[in-house]
Amino acid sequence: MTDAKTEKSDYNAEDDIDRKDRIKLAADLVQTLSKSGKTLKIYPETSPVRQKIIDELNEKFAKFLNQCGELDLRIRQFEITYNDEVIYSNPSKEESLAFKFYGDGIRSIRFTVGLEEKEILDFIGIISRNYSLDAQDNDIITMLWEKNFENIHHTAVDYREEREIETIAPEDYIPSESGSGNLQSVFNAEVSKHTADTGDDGETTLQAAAGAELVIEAIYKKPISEIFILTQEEIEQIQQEMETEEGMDLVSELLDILFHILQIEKELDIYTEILKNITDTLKTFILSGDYQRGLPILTTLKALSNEENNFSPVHAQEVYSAIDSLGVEQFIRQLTTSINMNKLIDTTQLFSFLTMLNKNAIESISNMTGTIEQIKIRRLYCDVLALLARDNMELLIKGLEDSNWYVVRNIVYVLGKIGSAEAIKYLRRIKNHSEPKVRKEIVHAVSEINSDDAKDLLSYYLDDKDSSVRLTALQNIAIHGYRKAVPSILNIIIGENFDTKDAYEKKEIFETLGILNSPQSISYLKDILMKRAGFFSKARIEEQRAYAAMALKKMSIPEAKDMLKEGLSHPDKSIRNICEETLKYMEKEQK
Amino acid sequence: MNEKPSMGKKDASGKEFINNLHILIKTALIHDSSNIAITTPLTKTMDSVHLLLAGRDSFSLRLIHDNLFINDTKIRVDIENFLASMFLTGEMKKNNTGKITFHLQLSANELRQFVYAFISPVSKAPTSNETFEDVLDKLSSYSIKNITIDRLQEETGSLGQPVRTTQEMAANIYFKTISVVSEIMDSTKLKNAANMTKAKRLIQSMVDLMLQDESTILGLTTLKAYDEYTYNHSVNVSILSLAMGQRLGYNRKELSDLGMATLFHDIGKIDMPVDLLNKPTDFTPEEWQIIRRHPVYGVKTLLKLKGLQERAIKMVMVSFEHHLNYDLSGYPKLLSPKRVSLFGRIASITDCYDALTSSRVYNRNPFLPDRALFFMMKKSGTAFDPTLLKIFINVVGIYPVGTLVLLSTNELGLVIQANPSPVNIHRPLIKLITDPKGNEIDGDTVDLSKHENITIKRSIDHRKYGVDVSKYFL
Repeated sequence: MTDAKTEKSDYNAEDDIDRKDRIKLAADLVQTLSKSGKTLKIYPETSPVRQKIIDELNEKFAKFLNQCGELDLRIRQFEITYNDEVIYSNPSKEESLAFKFYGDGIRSIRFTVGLEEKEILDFIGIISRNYSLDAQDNDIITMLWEKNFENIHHTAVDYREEREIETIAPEDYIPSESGSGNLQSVFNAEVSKHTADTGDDGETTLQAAAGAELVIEAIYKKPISEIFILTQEEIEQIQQEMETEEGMDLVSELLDILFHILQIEKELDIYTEILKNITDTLKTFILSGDYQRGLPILTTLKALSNEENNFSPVHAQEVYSAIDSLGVEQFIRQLTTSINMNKLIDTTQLFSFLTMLNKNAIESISNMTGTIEQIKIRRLYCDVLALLARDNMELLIKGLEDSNWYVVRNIVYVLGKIGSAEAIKYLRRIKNHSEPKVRKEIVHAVSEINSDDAKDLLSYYLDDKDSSVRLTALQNIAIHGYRKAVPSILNIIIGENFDTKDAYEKKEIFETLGILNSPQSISYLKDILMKRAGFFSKARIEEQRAYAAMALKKMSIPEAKDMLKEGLSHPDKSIRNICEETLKYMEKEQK
Repeated sequence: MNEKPSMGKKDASGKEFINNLHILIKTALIHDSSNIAITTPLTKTMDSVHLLLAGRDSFSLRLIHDNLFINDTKIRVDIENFLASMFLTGEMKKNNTGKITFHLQLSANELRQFVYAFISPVSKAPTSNETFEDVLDKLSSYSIKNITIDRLQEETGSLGQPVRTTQEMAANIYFKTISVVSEIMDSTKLKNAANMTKAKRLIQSMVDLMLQDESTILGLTTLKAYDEYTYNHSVNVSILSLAMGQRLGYNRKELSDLGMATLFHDIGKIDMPVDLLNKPTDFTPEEWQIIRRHPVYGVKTLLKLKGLQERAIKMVMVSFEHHLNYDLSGYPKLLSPKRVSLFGRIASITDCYDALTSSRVYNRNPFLPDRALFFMMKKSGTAFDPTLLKIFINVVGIYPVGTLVLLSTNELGLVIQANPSPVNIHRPLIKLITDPKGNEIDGDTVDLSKHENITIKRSIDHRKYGVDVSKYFL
């Protein structure tokens, strides 16, 4: 009894240890496998870390398969078992390897001796992919099936349901009147028919006499044994076509078909449906920055939106509406986000795309001018708006009321680019905008507009509370030689606040006066130049005198020179000196 | 549950070996054994021999029913090894050799000597037993020990008969696929979400079966359901297309895509009025106009189903192109030229063939399979791509599987497998179903290419006599 018990006990213990070892090895292997997917994704193919992980996996598989023959894993919803022992468990639907297999219908996976590194890597590639329900092309079973592993096998149930698919019984497919047929009657009729060698037409007669081969030989005019052998040329031609199709851009093929349908399809429902698919594809191209493929589509759509190129005005309108869908705020916002993420945008193509949009895009693009991150793209958006809104300025104006000053500034810039006198009335509405940058942009904008109203508005900013705005206005008045602004400038000079301005601004004011070269300024400049300084006002008077001389230096009218000559005989030596120096400078400049 | 068979690597090394051996023998036919030109093909063949010998003592190249096997794995004939397979089959038959075994110790010199022994002109009549003895003698005189040959076996009926389990599996998949197609089409019609994955899995199983045993699954296309024409037709077109795809050498993924695309080539018909589809009389020109809308309707439906994924695009292509015709003379009529894809061209052939040979509400007297082929051959180069049509005829034979024939022996037989050799395309494998007196029998399978004295007198319209040929494939 004791011996037997010992024997039995020894035997079981050994077996148990062996079993325990195998389970431990299997658990370790599955854990490594589960982690490897994530890890391998991180490292590039040349990384030594990656190679280390691969080597470790290879080693573990080799060890297991050498010791245990094969690794047969059973899949439960959240667990993987080996030899009825749970060796992997993860209740997270997102992360569980078991759930990934189970959800796809896989119930067991078996790795067999001979497993190669490539198979392991391919397998990891499959299990570490992200599978979505929509991506029905690439579920795990399909990927395993396509790989056709020699040493990895799986079993699966029908897709997402354990029950068998209800099948149509084969009996349904056997014509009811046939039964097993009457072969004797076939025989009787056909043998006698053949003997009589008759047929219901020439072809049958020919066939009846000599079988199908003669008919075929007559068609191909060759012996039957030669007709169906593929020639080297035919083989090469088909192989070439297969190679071509292997590298074929399927989306372009699809678009080709859809455009063929648009050319022939008059039924509006289908036309619209096809159009929607084309537009969706176009949107995908554009959002991914693939303007190369996107632009030709939009060009074709633009052509089709013209009534002359379509079946009817209704069809053309459908195309126009499809293009409208590219201009809606939601899409332009997506585009802007994608541009913000991708700094390497082909600006020329982006410009082409945006300028082909319908006018409904104006508001969307103008709203996005505040969201775009790159300055050059913001400028591009504005340039696009200047083109799109040239005849639809009213669509831009809403942006002038935007609570974000930078959007307002951008719209003002666009109005300036458009350069239409029409814009002045809109700009006047915001001439006192609280943000100096906006006012400054208005100054730039009105400088671009050639109208008296524009120049008046420009002069308005000579008295702006922000010095940079005032200076910009002065500079633009000087650039455009706007003499009408002279009285306003003179008023500033004689105004109470002039002395409070900083030296640079004062200099700019006089310089502008000089550039404008207006006789109207002479008497004012003379007063400043000839004014004698008192004890307490000496410094101020001399500063102004210097500015006046500087203004006169810039002037080319004779009145300026005459006035300086007059100063040469002034009793005040300092006035005489400054007049002399200024005249010398002017003469030198003249030479 | 079903375990997937694995065939890929073995199949590839087998094909490589066949191609290399073909080149080696062809070179040997031109140059003598000392010529430098023989070196490269000899090295390449040795390389592929070593690949096949990895881990084994020997392997055999076998010829069974005009099919080449490496051990028990049938070599898949496709566009790449078509000529090589045909050539080697011919050479082995010429020498009456059914099996060539290559052993582990084989040297390049032995292989060289073997090739020259194998191709030496024979004094006896081709395919006689003496030719085999001649080769055997030469091998012995050259002391070739590591290549042995066996005589070509007389083939019995059982060799060509499909295994019952494969047949059952094929039928099971066939009917499940019909159910799934009808389910998907019905859901789509009702604007419900369709579960394409079920269909995809069945197509994958069908591809596996096709790679294992083409003729069994091809035989199922003889099933013609009058009431369920559209679904039945869809599955048949898919099977016939897969067989063509296999000959073209498509990989598993491409075959699966082809199978799916052709399975739903007629999905546009769900938008056709049912009364029109079931109209018992001929269509008026106006009704034809409506029927001809289905390729475009199909595109619309498929776009809704699947978005822009690769497989869905191929489905769209087939739906749109399957009636366009090779020369664009079909429908829809296009306003500008377009290249029809290979999938589209394949579908146009298989669709036309199955449609012509099927009973439909409006076509109660369908063509016999061979008549359908004559009709199609006349349109080779116009409606159909001539090379693909050739390949199709290579797949189905000129007496396609399921054709009831009267033999010159006055026996009735049923074509159960096309002859794999295009030279013997008119000599398929026949199952005898009556004796010469017309009594029904469960007869042998006869390979007509082995019995030159037996010829096919004519094909017979089995429907006319109420004979259901599909029962021989179920």
